[in-house]
Amino acid sequence: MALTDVVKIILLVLLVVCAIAVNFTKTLLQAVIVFMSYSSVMCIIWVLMESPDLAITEAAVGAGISGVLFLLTLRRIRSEDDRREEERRASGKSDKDEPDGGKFESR
Amino acid sequence: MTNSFITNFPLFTIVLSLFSGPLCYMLKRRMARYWTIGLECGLIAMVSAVLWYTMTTGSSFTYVMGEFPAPWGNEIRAGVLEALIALVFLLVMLSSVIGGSKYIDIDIDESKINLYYTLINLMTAALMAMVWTNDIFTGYVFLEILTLTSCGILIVREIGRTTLAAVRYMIMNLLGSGLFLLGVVLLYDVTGNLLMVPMQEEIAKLITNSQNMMAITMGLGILTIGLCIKSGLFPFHYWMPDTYGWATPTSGAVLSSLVSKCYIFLLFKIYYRVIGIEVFEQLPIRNILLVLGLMGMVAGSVSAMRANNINRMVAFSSAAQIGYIYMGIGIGGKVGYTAAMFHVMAHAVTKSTLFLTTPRLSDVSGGSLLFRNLQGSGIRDRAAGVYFSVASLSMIGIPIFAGFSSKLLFAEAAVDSGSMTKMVLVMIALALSSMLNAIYFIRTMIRIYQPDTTGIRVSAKRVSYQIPMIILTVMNLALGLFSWYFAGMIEQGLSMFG
Amino acid sequence: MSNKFAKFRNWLAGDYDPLKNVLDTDETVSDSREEIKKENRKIISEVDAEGSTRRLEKAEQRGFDLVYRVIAIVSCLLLIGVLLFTVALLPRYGVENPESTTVVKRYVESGLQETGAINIVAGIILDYRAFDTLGESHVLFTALICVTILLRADSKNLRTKYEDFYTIKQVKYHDLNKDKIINRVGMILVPCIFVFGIYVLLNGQNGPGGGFSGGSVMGAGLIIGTAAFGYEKMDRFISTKTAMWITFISLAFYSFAKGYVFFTGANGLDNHIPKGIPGAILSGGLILPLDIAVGMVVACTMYGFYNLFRRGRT
Repeated sequence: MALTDVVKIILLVLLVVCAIAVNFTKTLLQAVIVFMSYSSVMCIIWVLMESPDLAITEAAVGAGISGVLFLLTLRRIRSEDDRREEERRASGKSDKDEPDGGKFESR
Repeated sequence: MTNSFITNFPLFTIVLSLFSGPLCYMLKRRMARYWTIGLECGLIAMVSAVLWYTMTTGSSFTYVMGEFPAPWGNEIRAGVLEALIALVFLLVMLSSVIGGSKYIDIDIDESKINLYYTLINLMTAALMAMVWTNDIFTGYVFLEILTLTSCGILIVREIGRTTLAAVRYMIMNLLGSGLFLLGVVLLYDVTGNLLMVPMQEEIAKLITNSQNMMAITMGLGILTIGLCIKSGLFPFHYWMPDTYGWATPTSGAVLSSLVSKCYIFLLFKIYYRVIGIEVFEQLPIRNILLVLGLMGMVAGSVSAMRANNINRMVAFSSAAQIGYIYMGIGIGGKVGYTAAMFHVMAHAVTKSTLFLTTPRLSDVSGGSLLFRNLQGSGIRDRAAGVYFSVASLSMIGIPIFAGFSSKLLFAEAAVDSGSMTKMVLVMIALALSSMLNAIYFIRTMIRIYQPDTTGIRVSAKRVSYQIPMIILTVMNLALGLFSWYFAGMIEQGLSMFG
Repeated sequence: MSNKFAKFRNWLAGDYDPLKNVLDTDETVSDSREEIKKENRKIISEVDAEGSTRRLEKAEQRGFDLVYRVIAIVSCLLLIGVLLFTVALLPRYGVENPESTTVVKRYVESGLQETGAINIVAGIILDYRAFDTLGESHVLFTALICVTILLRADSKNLRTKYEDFYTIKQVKYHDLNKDKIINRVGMILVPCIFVFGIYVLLNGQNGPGGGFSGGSVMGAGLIIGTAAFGYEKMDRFISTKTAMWITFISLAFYSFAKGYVFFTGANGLDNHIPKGIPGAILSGGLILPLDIAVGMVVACTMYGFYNLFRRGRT
């Protein structure tokens, strides 16, 4: 087996490992980083398969832009939870605060 | 290839709708609405011309997109069946947009209304492209557009439930799209073409030599499962009631009547043109679709009976009606496919009427959708009550209306199918589901017409609401009274479809 | 003196985090999946249970979870097994596969003469099968519209209070664009990224690259530029209105240019678009303008996503 075949097999196994590892990380931040590394490995595989167009796009979009968007989302859902907590504590509302307990089921 | 200018019209429908998407993004709210309505009327005129042209010439025409003919370039194809289905889709879309326009203004934030019309225009483009396409990968690309726009028109109403329902809908749809793409990739790998007619020749060659059978079977199977998930066949219909139940009425009408049918039409086109109808008749996939369709008919109706919210009831009955169409494809034979396509049109018309009348019924009941609050709403708002009753009678299957004609065609197809077990099963399921439909629709009709002296009366009648309802009701009656004419058109279309 | 070394010793021992009040890490809110699952379940149950009675008891809920997990794992393994089995039986990669190579032969042999592009992939996606690429660019645009609908701040989703989420707690977070390192490195890198992106875009038909690749690199450049220079400077370079107009003009140009080509091609007319000399920049007929249009759409879409995620408006 030529060297490129060995490298290809290692990279494909690494892909499967990344895909399974996303589920077993302890925090979501680690999951996003594993996802970005998955995209980077995919980019190298595209180069080995002789399609540089796809490699450039995968590097820019997968490892770059979608990773950044995930991190921004993580930032935002933390902040939203904090803000909601603060507002709730500030105004002293309880959880179920509707006039008829929501039995009206409006449109 | 002929020289008539009408052969360019399918291309114009697609390109104009695609252009209107970004255009409505730039326009303000009112101009976006007028442009959308004007565009739809123009498209209806063009598609009617195509229908008249294909009926008089008696054959479908293929339109080469660019200088390179198939199998190197792309193609679209228009015949009687495609033109008829496109016409019905456009009429239902126009009626839904006009009929629900009051609720668009209420439900959606002012700054996002033009974005809503952008999505409606892109959805029209995707529907047209999937109806006219002759290429399986173009079908996938516009299927993606249809998925994204249908999630968009759900999210646009920003209450908590719609976002949750839209996320569930998006996950199921993306799973379906992924499976569809896997199927397309497997079929491309063994045939080497992406246009449907060359693929059919290759598959015929491969089947006679019996090579690559696993890839073809798996490709077809995965593709079918993907499209069944997206259109809501029996085990995969659980996302439906949440999705349609809380959307703004135009979205509910468009999603339940048009989007699911377009996926079924694409699946049917793939069976007819990629696999070939003679090969398809021998595959066991037909029986699986038949069994799932029968189970969907019964399960959808049983779930609808247990709903206590009128929108959920209508959404579950949608799942039952999709089961009818798959049953028609499963029965097979000329009459079976005619029945399935006829029911696509009949259900599109009926379901959009239902989704456009329920919000008016709830408006006069103080805004609630629960059955116990809807008592007497048909008396308070006479117009909505009448249209709701017409649509309900059509769903049950009373003669004169479209539902009866489609059930009659299904029964005829079952008798013609030649297999005793199929005929018995289909007849029993038809009878059972008609009875279940009658139970919950007549119960609703009785409830909305029970006199109730409390509650507000509505005296103002919006002309902009009456016109689309009249269009839909006239289509319903036309499909019911002149069903032999439409069935003849569909049969003529099927003969040039393959 | 001993103060500095005390800090260093503390940090070495693991007690002191030098980045604690400097970067945006917030230890009071955890990132772990258990907490997030609990919060999600609370939110979902609040939304679902508005007005409907509790449907499942706790034990039933746990039983349902167990059955759900088992079925999910079994279905995944089934799907994996079936797909592996199918792929194992496919014809081998690279050899004469599939049987009919009529399509691929013509692309490879006459691709250069018929389209004028050295990069056959660009020729295929923008000339032979241009209709699919028309659809794909509109997919990007649709995604942008859907994200705008979901995330743009308006009167209903009450996010107009916060211009940028870095100021949510009125705590002075670390402004990225005031950081000297990011600012200086950005000043050097961002122009290089743009030049590279434009190079990839313009050479779509002569080498690897094209609309999607070049557009993504330019979009990434815009994102890094925003992080490095801040919103005031970037809004002078590309503002919301500019991005909107660029997207609209590019998509409209694509639709009508390709509509014209399809119309003339189907009716047997000549479309008078010169093919040019292969290898020059201005070659390949319509491939270069369409590449630019697609690249602009991709760049504006990526930048629009970043802005919507970060500050709630494009």
